[in-house]
Amino acid sequence: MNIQKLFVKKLERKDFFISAGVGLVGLFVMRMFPFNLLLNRKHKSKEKPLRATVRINPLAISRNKLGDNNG
Amino acid sequence: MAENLDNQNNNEQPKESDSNYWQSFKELYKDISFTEAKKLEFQKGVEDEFDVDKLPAVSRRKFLALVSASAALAAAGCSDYNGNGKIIPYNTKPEEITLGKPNYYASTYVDNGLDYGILIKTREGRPIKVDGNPDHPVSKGKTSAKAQSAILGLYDPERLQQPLRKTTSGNFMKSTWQHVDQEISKSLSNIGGKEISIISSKIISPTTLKVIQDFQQKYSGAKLYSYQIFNEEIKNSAWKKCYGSGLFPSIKWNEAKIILALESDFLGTDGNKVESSRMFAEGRNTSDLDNFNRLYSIEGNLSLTGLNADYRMRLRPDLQFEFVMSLVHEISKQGISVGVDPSILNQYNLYDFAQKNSLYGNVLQLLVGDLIKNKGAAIIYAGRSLPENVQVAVNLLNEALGNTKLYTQDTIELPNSSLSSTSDWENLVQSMNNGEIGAIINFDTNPVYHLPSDLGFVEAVKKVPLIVSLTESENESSELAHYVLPISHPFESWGDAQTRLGYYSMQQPVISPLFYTRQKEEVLLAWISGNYKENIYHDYLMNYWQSTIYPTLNEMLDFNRFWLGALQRGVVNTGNIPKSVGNFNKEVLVILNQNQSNISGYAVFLKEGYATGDGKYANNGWLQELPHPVTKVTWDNYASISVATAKQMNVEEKDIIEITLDDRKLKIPVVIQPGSADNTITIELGYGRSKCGVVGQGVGFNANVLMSKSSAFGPWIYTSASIRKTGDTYDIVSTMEHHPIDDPLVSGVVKERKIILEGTVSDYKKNPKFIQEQRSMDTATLYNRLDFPGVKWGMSIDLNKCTGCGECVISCNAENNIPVVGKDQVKVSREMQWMRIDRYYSGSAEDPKVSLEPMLCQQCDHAPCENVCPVAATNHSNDGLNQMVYNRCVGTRYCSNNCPYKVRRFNFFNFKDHFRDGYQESNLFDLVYNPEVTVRSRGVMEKCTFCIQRIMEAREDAIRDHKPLKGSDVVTACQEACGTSAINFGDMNDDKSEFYKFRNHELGYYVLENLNVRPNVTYLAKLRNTHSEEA
Repeated sequence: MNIQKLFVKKLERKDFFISAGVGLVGLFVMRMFPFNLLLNRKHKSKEKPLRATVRINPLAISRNKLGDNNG
Repeated sequence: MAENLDNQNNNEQPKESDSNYWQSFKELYKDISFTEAKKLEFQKGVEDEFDVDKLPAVSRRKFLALVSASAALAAAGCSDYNGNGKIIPYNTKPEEITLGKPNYYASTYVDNGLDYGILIKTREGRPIKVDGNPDHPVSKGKTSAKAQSAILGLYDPERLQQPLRKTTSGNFMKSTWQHVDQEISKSLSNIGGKEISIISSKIISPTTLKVIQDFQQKYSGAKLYSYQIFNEEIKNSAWKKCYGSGLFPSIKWNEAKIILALESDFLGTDGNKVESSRMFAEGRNTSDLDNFNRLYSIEGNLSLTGLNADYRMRLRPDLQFEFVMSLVHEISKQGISVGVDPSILNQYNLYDFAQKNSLYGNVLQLLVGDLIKNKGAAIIYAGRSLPENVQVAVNLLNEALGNTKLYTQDTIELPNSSLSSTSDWENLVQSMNNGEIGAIINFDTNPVYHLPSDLGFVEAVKKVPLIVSLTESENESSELAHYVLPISHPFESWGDAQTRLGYYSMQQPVISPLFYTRQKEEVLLAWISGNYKENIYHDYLMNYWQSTIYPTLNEMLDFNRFWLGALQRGVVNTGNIPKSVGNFNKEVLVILNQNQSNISGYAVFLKEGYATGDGKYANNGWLQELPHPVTKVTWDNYASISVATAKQMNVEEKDIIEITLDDRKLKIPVVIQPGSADNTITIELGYGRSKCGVVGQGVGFNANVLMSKSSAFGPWIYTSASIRKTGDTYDIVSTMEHHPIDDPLVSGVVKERKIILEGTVSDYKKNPKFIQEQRSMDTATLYNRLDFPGVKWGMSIDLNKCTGCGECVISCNAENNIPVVGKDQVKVSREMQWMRIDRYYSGSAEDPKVSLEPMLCQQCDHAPCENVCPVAATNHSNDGLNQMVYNRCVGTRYCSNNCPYKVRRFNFFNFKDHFRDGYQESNLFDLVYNPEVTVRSRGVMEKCTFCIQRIMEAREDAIRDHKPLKGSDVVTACQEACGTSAINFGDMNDDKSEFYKFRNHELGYYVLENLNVRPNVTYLAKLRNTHSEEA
């Protein structure tokens, strides 16, 4: 195969924008498509869980795992 | 299968040399299907074509079939993949957090009326691992599998997240705390003189009890009922009758030279397992052979304790009274005064009893001799399920033999915290039926599932106008409730506990509530005060301690400093010393003259589930998937019966039988258990949940339906059961035959290839080198000997201490992000646990001896897995580790095929997604993962790494502190969790270390040593403490 020829071949500006445009539209459509509708999960949870927030309890007292510095 | 089995019972125990090792009946009877299956790399059916319809919802095939524009889809999908969380730096970093470094909090975990001191490891605020609190006087750095697994409950995606209120149509709708507080407070205030029944489990927190007392003051009709399905009530009641006061004491297991366990699983489920296992193992020290204990076990079904017995005999549980009385008589004949009327004792004869019930007369003779010879240093321990007369007879025996020296009278019960009696429950049910109960508050309990069906609780409770369930997740009782209030997880809650005289355990929240939950005490306090505020229970707890407990402690520190110190240590010593044991009240012996009701038909013994407890842990995947310590069954309970009983019933394994006790019936599959007593059916409770999360719902069979409020033998033992074979079958999944170390060409592979080496204490005394003489040291090799001049990591496992409990497996799961795979995958040998406890039987199927051997990657110097990996994904480190590079692994599975120990695990699926339709893929579930360990996905091989992340952490610390890395700086997860300290880890080049002694111990051997792969795990051979010269 003439590899050099491949590199030499120039992509038309118009083709480039058409391809890129189709790609972007495809991307957009795919992102919007509700794939969840295709799920068929027996144990599908009824609702989305609330967002859990990880917070340290400020009143709790941490310590070393071992050692003398433990009160 | 049962036809093949001849009952070989005679009255003599077979000799020690009878060591044909086997793991299952198929192996014992050389079943062709088993032999054929062993030749296959994978289980039958594994390589069958996929049935697309049966694949999980989003399979790759379905995905590709639906979408042709794959490039666009990939781009779209990659931009929104699961777990693409953002990494955001702290704006204000909490003072106690150093990024990448864990924080530890001491706290307390309460289970089954006992308190366990725990140490919770958190990373960036989220708890990820639970171990024992080394400062806790009972736990001493160890904890239970259930406490370790509790962390999964914290991140259970199905936890209730906000209050629910039942509508008139019977559905639950979301509500707010403000709303439900108002409605419930109003209803309680207008209760009109009716009773408010609070149903709780055993309360061991003095402050929780005070909250309930305050609630009773505010609402005068409030009454507390408490139950604990598995409890020590019979033992305690017998103790009070014998000694006047107090509870059954704790036992100095470490000082006992002879232990006789009667239907007792003190190493498994009876009492404080953490404490008793640790102390029992202290008495199995090979460096102190003069004090090496001897365990006799007489039980109906092979238990964890029975696995570890030096002598074990099988006896149906309803015959224990007759056995103990026969033993009392025999002891009295040997000149020990027991104070029982001879006319009573003459009814019993030990050797006649042995003959009648196929017990070994020679072993009983040795037992009697041992008990007399070791007066004051022996303990006879009756299981908590045995009836009161057995307990009294056992107390008498211990008293007569002077064994009370091994009691420590330090167990206490808080005032007004006793469990409700059967008549209390009957009265409650009657009051509910009469319309005298205005409200039921389920205080973190599930009485609908737990209480005996013949009590009529379920029908009666439906007549109560207000039912409030305080619970973490929906359960059978919350279904009937009008309000379901979500309570905080124990790791989000404050608390205290007292079960011993000498200390209080402190509980603190290591994380703020993840959801809109309150801890159960806060809910009551809000109804008492009519006004909820944040930290309401924390303030209450502090005030109660300041005003009531702190003044009794004679502390030098002011209260605030004392309080911070108490939370930091997780325990407060009271300085109180144990009381002395009172005088034995001989009048109680009249109970021994009451013979039991007729013993006929089949005995049914209901036991606490090793994994699921009373059902509380049914939704915990780690515990459900932990192989049963004896049968290795996962994800189910079953009716365990003996070989002869199976033959008599004409049933095979997996056949479903129907058990009938009066009008109570249960259909359940059968497992034939070597070592079971004939005509005895043992079933573990805690399964068959009809309402819980997706992990546990419908798993196993609900045997609670067999429980009755009135049984002559107590709530757990029933007699005169009838059995019917239904003709149906059920798939029971066991890991017993999975990953066998095998060579189809060698018969008796365990013995021939020296997989297990063991002996007796007297063998060792006679010839300390007897194990070394059995080893086959073939050092011929094609390879150059590798030198590891620096630190070289190794492990030793002392089989004298390992009880086979599986704590190490759970710990490894938590530390190394090992997924739960589910029953369907375990069935085809795809469980992912990096450790397994191999259990070998030897001897006859009726009365086998048992050998245990934890098996994990042996980190061989000449690792056969490394040679065959085409991409060098598994290779050797310069500190002697056999490493896995997950990113390189292309999943050929050659390594697994070439591993002689069969310890490698392959991810056939992305199990995060595959199990229970993505249960483990929830964002919430992600919080449980150890950030130091990669979460593996489909197509990757994995195995034990010797906790390399812990090695790296220790190395970093050593470099930072400018000191050399020592072997003792690293503690692996399994080692840390091992309740008996059977596992040791360290640097085998450090000849001054403790580990070096184990590595080079006289009893040390390697598994499959003749392969000369130079493993780095040393096993210390098990010594049975038998009378080998006499037996």
